[in-house]
Amino acid sequence: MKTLPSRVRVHSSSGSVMQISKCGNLICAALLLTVFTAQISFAAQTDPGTFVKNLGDHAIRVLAGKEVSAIERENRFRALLRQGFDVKRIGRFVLGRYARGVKPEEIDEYHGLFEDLIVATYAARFAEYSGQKFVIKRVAKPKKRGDSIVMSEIRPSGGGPSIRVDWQVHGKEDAFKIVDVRVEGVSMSVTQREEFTAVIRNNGGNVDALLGVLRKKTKGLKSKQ
Amino acid sequence: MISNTKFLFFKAKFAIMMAALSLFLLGGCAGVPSDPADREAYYETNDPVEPLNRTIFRFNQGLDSVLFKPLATIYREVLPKTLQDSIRNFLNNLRTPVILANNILQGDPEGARNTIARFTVNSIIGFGGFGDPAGDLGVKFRNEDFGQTLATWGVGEGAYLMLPLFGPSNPRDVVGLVVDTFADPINIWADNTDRNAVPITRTLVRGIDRRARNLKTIDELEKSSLDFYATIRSLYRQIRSDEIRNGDSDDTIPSPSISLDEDPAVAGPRAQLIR
Repeated sequence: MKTLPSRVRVHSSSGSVMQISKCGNLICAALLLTVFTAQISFAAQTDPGTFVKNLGDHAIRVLAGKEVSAIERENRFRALLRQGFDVKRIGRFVLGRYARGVKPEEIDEYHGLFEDLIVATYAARFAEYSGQKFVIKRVAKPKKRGDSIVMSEIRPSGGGPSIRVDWQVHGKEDAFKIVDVRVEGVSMSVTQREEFTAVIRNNGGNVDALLGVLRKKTKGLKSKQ
Repeated sequence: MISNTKFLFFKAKFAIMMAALSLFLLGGCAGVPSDPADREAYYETNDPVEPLNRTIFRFNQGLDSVLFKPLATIYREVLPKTLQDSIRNFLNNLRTPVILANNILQGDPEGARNTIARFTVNSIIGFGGFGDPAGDLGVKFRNEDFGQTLATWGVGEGAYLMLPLFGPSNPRDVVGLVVDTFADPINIWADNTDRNAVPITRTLVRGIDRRARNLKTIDELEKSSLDFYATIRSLYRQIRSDEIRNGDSDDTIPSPSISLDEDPAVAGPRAQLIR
């Protein structure tokens, strides 16, 4: 916690972060929980850059560090994911044209499994957080598209090359949602789509096959605790 | 000078490679699927020889698990981190002539200046290239190759190819690899003085170094992936296109639009092929 950049504190709307660095582990966890359950509203941002910055800083605040249990981290990550990302839209995008082949009774299960996969894949990465700085470089607004691209950088605390991360933000003022994250030019949504459509195509265009693989995968990835 | 017999040998090697390549392309060719959803996936992945590519991928994975991964693990566990960095810096520095030539061919004077500056600083202050003081000063290593140069000249990537040993590629990058290898002064010197071990060792160490640096990333990727072959294919193509743009997060990238409320049709350069 003490390695967090000072900007985090500025953006903290609860004001409890300053105290966290001084308190013991137990109180710390309790405080974090209050910060978290306060559910800072990211929707109340007027520009996509601030929205992404606040979301990122908040994620580091509540997810980073070894003292958060794996289950707790996953729960918090899931809540943040729902707040900051348009998971349904991404879920539909990654099916490509096969989205039409999903049976109505399977749609909810699919979206649930897709969310589980994201949580299982990414939540644990915050455990390895070691004081990297999250900096917004600029925000681009492509002419033809409604979405903004927020360009950011993650800078390691001990020097070394920083990582380029671009966020595609959909929606207008007060209702921003992230629809894609591009790390060093690699789009998470596109990669996921090529994976999903490959599974479906190799099973004769059958979406059920993907659901089966997803069920097995998310079960296997679930943290044991 | 390259002697006549050697030149013939080069030509023969090249001819064999090209013949193998065309066999690849003919052998595994599957027809374009008729179902629109299948067709969209088919065009997006750009992988007409997928069955053959998957077979080679399995072979590569087998080889990786019995040879390269163990070697890379030993390399990472046994050698001190500073020595690993030095080896990498040295290999990067050796690549200078190839990078510089490609900087120039791409019409990139700034890139060429950086390449020369890095070589000078790292060779002199960096103890013959083992250190990277230029990187510390902010002039970071940026690889260029003839595949990227061809792309800046407007040459398309062609079909996705999985090469034995070398991994993911495409016809454009195969040509790039061959040109870079034959044009590299160190390889030419090694060939002329019958030091065949030099280029082989160099390629091997470079491969092991790269594998060692990605041990954890690749493991995690494989664990979370639903179809590892498809993941690698997607990553290779996206990383290459990022390298060609030199990491420029330009607003004009034809990034897939995620605006598909009504119809999940694909956007981007291939959209018109599918609709």
